[in-house]
Amino acid sequence: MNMDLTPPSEAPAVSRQAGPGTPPATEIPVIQVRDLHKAFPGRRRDQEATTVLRGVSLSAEHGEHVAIIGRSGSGKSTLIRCMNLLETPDSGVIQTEDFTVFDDGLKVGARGLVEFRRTVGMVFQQFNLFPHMTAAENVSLPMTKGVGMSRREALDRAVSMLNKVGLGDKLGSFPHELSGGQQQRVAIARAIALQPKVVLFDEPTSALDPELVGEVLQVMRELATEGMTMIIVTHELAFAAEISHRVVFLDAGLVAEEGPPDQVLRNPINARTQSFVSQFLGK
Amino acid sequence: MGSLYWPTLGYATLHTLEYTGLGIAGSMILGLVIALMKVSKWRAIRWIAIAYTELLKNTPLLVVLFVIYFGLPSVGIILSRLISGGLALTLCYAAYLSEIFRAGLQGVPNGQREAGYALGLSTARVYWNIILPQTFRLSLAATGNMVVDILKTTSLISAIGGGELLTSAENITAATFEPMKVYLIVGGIYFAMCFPLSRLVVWYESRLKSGTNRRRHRRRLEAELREIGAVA
Repeated sequence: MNMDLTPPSEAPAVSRQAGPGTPPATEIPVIQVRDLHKAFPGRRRDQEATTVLRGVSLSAEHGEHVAIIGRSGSGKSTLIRCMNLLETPDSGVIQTEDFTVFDDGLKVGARGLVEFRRTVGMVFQQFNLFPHMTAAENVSLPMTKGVGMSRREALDRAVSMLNKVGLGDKLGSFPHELSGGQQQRVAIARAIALQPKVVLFDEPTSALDPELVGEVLQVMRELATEGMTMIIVTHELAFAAEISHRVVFLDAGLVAEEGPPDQVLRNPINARTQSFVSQFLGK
Repeated sequence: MGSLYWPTLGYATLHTLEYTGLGIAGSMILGLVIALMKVSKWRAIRWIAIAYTELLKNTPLLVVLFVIYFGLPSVGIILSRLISGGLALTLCYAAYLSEIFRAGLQGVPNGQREAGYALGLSTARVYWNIILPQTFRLSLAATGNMVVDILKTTSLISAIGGGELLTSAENITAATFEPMKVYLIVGGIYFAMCFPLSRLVVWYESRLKSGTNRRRHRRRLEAELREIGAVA
């Protein structure tokens, strides 16, 4: 199932507050996956495999913000984790402008994988900051140990990244000294330190106390305004409506519906999308 | 036993420390390698590591030592007492340490590994900079006990006349017929080495827990940040 590559700008834009700006009208997606299939084998030999993705295609163009929504177990996290090959799909294609990293069972080698991942940032639900390093070192690590930048230069950039997420005063703090919201902001600074072409967000606010969600969404909003290409798995439908050019509703491992937020979130065509969004938006 | 024997005991103590040093260094390196094999994605490698551990964990060190020192010469491999003793300690304690390190490796949440990979770090970097420092903290207490245990177990090397403390105690006893006195003195020397060592481990652990190391670490970072003019 191939998806519609029409830029989201053609959709009627209604009531977007801190809107995504003018969506870019380009041709080549920054990242795309086609017809991804993924099943997790059973733990024991007699258990059946669980099929999670049944042929999902998805892409994001330059500056585009794509929100992936769906019930738990619909395959959202698996899909986004496949996009930087933290999970290896069974079949399908994963490619960016520069790399084809997966093509029907053939995975790029270790060297290529490392190069590819430097162009794809990822923010996790559980933050996954390194507990034995300060905030500044967390952000510097991919620069010093990944691309071989000097420690001085890397720290310099780490400082500006942390300033950007509003944590310029927490450079020397260790993760356990920070609130969940602050930790996630450090994680975002770390994910964008290498200036990736796209950032994947895997439920970035799901592990946060409600009062800390706002500060993380604010940082993501600013990133979006700067034109960063973003793919966001989220349960924050209001945020998805506000920020995204396109919303993809995943159901039982398939794209059940996709389109501009006004369609998918406010007037969904698919019955399962309707029942899903009504729970959240109180229709 | 006159003052005549103190220099002998001094040398013997140095030999004990030599065996201990070899045993610690060897078993830590081998133990880490085997622990990494145990978390390998290849079943065959995991299997080899498990087989090794079970084999050495369930064989007396003395037997391993005899196989190395008395057995190997029959196939043309002749090793000195020092190397034989160090090797026996290495092989046996690597089995125990590999279990400790494996638990430490598995105690590091998988998200740490994933975050490292997602940042475009190589597997070697992920392990060296992210996983192993955390494994070290998790394994510290149990590893410290093993280190003390290795020091005490060097006494078994007296069975091949290894020249360490217990060997020399036996020799002195044979000459002076004062076993009570000699063995008590030697026991005291072992204690005098082991006790500070185990306290050292406890102290270092509490230091890690209390965050003293983190504070020092932070001060160094802050100095660097001042240098690049990032903070006042």
